[in-house]
Amino acid sequence: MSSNDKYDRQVRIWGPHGQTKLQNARVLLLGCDPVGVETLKNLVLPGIGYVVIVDSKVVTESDIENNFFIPHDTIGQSRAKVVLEYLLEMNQDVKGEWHQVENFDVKEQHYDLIIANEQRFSETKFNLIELQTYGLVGRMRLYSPKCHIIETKPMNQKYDLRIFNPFQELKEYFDSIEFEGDVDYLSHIPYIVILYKALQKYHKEKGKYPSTFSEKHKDFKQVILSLCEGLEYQYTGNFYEAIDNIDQAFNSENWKNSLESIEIEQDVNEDQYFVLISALRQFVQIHGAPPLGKAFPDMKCFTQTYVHLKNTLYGTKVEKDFQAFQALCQNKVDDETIRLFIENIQDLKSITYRTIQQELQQPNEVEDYDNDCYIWYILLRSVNEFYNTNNRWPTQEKGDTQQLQEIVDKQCRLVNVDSIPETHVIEICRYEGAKLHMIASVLGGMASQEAVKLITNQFVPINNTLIYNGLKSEASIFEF
Amino acid sequence: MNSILNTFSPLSKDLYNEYRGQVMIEALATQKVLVIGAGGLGCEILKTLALSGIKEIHVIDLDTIDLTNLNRQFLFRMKDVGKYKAEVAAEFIMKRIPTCKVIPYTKKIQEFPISFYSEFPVIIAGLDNVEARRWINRVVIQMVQRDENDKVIDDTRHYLIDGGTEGLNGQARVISPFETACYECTLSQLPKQLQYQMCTIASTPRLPEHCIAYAYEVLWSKEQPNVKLDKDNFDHMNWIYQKALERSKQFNIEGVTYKLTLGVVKNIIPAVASTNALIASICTVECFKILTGNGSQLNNYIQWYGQNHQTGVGINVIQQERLEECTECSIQTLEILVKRTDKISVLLTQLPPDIELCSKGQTLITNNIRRKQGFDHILEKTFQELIDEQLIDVQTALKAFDKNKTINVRINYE
Ligand SMILES: [Zn+2]
Repeated sequence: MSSNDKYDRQVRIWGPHGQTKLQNARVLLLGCDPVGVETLKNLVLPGIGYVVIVDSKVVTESDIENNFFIPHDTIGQSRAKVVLEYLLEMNQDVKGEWHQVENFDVKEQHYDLIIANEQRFSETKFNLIELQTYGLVGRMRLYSPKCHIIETKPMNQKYDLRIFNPFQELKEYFDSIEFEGDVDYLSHIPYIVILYKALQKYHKEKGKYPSTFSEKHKDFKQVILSLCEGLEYQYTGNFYEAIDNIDQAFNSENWKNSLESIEIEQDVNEDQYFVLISALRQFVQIHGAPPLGKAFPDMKCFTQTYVHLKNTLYGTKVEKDFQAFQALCQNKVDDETIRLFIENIQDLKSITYRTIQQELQQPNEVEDYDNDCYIWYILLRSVNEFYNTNNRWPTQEKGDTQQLQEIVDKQCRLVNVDSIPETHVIEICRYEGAKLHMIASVLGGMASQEAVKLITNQFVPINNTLIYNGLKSEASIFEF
Repeated sequence: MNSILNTFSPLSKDLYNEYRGQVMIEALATQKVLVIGAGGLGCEILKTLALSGIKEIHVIDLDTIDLTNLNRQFLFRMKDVGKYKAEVAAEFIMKRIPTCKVIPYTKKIQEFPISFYSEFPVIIAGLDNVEARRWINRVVIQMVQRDENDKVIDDTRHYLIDGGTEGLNGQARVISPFETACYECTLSQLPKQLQYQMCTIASTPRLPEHCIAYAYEVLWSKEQPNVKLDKDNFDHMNWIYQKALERSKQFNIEGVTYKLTLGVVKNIIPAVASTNALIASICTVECFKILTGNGSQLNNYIQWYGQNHQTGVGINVIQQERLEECTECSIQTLEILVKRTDKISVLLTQLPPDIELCSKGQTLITNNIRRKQGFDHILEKTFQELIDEQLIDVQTALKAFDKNKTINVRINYE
């Protein structure tokens, strides 16, 4: 055996600090229907800290048919107790408790996440995932009282290389490089130098810097190629690397979005994220640019050159900026978080969630939709209203479909939709509230990804609803 | 469960509405499904099939359980490490859900005859490598038979559902041979594997990965010429780690760790329970829809990006194009006229060289040196004899495969 860490494969996704957050997290599951239990299963396996399971019912035949964590020989026992026992059996690192009660008071407690399993929950103090399955359709709704993500982990990392406006030491270095020498030398000039020189040349020839897409990717590209004229193709790898990275030549101003998305709050002291944002504001005022992050891409060049660039030139500037930024944080944020913040400054993200109450009263209208998911959303609202009135789900009996159609018409007016195809109304009536394991399992997988995002504060969670349509295997995200 | 096997559905296929009710419920209970792979996807698929009305599942996996499987392969426990995945998984499912029978196999998929695969209307693959996927793709294509009008005979079309994950991202597809793109049609779209250039590794290393690649690809064979590298052996991996560390210090490169060494040498793909669950379950939903006619089929490929910086999650459904020159599923038909009394060896002169000729999934002629001898006696038989032995069906075209394509061989008798 070459690894002795059973969490190895996932720590490679969210890092040891993400794993620590997971292991310290408390999750509350309200209800023991399959979709929430499947979600929790995917949190128990990676080693969530503590789970609290609340459910008032006892095990019946239908639980055994659709819930993997309710075995056949547990009929009559508390669902909460059985589910907790069989979930924790999978992973001894996880602890938990169960309660067989109708109403569970969460007021005085802390939870990192609440999973409202086939039920509504409108407390706004906690991270929340609300889940509903209905026949072949599923719905997931996220809510977070405060969602500021530092480690958004985009698929393509952006680098801040200061090619467009280099700091003093970097500019001196760039200017000191000559494009004369043997092939070995020329073919190992780092692409950041090539981009810098090409910018200078472009400016000299045209009196301005490239700004439109075509200027950047056609004219500017030609300038880059002119720098390696006469060099045999096999030695031009670094020049083509420069072309692949043309966008790096122009400063990313993404970090400005994060300043705009956060209003200057009076209670700045209460929250680390606000301290960091206000420090960033001050830093930019003083230095004209954000602090330099540590991330530095690989580039074709000699080892010595690379180490010099990374450790000496950029590295020294990174450390200097860190010190200055740290001073602005006035000891309110730990160094590790400051470093993470600086490293991710180009990709910060804040989300303000509409509450579930707001959505229930008036969902946002959706204008463009290219599949059936929006229709299923309106229908789910409709069957839920039917249930609230009748205390049962609609069937394909004529009286039910008529009553449901009236509700559907009302729901359509609420969101300015003309009508919904009758086929879909009849289709949803055939489900009669069926909770299928396979749909629960799909949605449980999706929900546990979002749960990990909310708990570790890494990656970007959805805002705010995902509809899964198993009939066609499609899914869409809406902000309702 | 019964509501989606019973009630009228305006959004489902005719098959469903025609047979819904008791017939459908009983039919579903007699269907057998084959699951290839009992790992991250396989465990989930087995569980979800067993709770979706499937009563008999066969599962193939020759792997044994590793400690690092336990964070997601939820049918395995610490005490199971080292045992066969297929066997432990089958036992677990049957214990938890006694109404479902699970039959495990611990052999390579290539060791089963085509007749084995033809028992399953749907094959779900939770595989981790391209070669096995290509192989099983070829099997479902080879199983297809055509009638006299060259139309595919429905019963011989077996569906292949394929899933895969990487970190928070994953994809699933439904392959219906000669209807949708097959796995081979889309092979060129596979992302290129990251590889470090040898000149970088050898002379201008810059990243810790370069130092590790050097220790692994150059130093091991040079300094341990007589020892085969075992990537699961701690001493071996530690040797590479120490050598890489040494080299990184020499070049002033930071960041070589044991964990990174494992990642580079074993090409470890990050894996987590959530992604496996959702991809495996999407596959299972597709399987259920094929067997019952519920809804409409995924056409034919879904991509899930749980790692999406803009919207949190990115979902694309794509209809993959069939490749006209696909080496597996593009069809060419060859008409050949023979007498029933001819020996089938006459075909040797009429078919392209290097082919394998099959009938009903059984090889008749092969040029594969290794396997050739076993089939030589068939060459001596006449067409009539083979028809009598039911090895050839007069109505059905034979199939010839070579490295590049599939050819329908239609034999016309004088
Ligand atoms: Zn093909």
